[in-house]
Amino acid sequence: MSTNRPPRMTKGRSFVQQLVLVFFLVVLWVMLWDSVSLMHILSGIILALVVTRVFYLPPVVLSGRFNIIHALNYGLWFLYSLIHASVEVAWFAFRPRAVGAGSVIACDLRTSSDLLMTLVADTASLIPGSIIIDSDRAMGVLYLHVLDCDSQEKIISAKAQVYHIERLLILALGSHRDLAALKVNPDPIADEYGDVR
Amino acid sequence: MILDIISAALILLGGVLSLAAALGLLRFGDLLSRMHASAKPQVLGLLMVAVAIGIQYPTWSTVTTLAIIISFQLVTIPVATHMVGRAGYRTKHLRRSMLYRDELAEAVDRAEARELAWERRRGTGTDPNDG
Repeated sequence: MSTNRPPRMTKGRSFVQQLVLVFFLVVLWVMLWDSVSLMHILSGIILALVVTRVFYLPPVVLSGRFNIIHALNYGLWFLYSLIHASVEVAWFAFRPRAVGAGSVIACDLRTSSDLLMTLVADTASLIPGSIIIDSDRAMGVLYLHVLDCDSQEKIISAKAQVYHIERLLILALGSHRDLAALKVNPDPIADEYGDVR
Repeated sequence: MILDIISAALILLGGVLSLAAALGLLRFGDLLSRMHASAKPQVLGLLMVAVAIGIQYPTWSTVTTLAIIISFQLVTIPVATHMVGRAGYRTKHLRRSMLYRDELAEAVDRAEARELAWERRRGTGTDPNDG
């Protein structure tokens, strides 16, 4: 009998998660129709049930934790970085000098959750200057291409940005295990480059 | 009046950012750099145009439709860039001179070396003539 293993997904819990998914699909459907009426809600529920049955996806494992303050913090930081980096990439396009060499960097994430890894990858992809090339799901490593990254300092700052995204997301909706991992390893950059300095 | 000026400015800025995306697509050196241009400044550009439309027609139906457009854009762009970037990398459509450092290639080399060593060890263990 293993008592210290993480709790398995119970039937009740996966039903709740299914319900959340159906709820958001109905909201999307009603938004598409531009008006709230019984007919739209009912057809939305039927459609959502059909869609979740026909296009079956493995259930997303939610952590069951959500911190609204940290989520807001993440949202604001995301908006700021989006604007800041969009201007930067636009400047690369407009400036007379051609853009320099880029780099492919590896980021060993601390989280082990698929959802968080996807969200970190999405965020890094949406913020200009970095795109996801590949990921190693088993090891939790993301490989990103960074624009105009031709020195060690730029590589370190690009990695720091990815780890910062991960930190914000874990604080907002990571599981307790991810939070513990964050506490154990608060500064991966120092771990990786500390001995070089 | 002020709202008109704000939305006009937003549309202009959004247009400039989309122009930057097109220009970047032309001017950047290799596939991976171009992916940045095609995906990025245009996200903010579309966001600005959508906000400008929302200011001009502040009704629920418009705002919800705009919200859907933006969220679909935010969800699909990373997937699209990832697919093209990954396909480009794996089929070696990249210019090495445009890469300062490539940690993915280092990881691939390490994995290959590990596999080779493992095969060699297993080979000598069972059949010395193998490999």
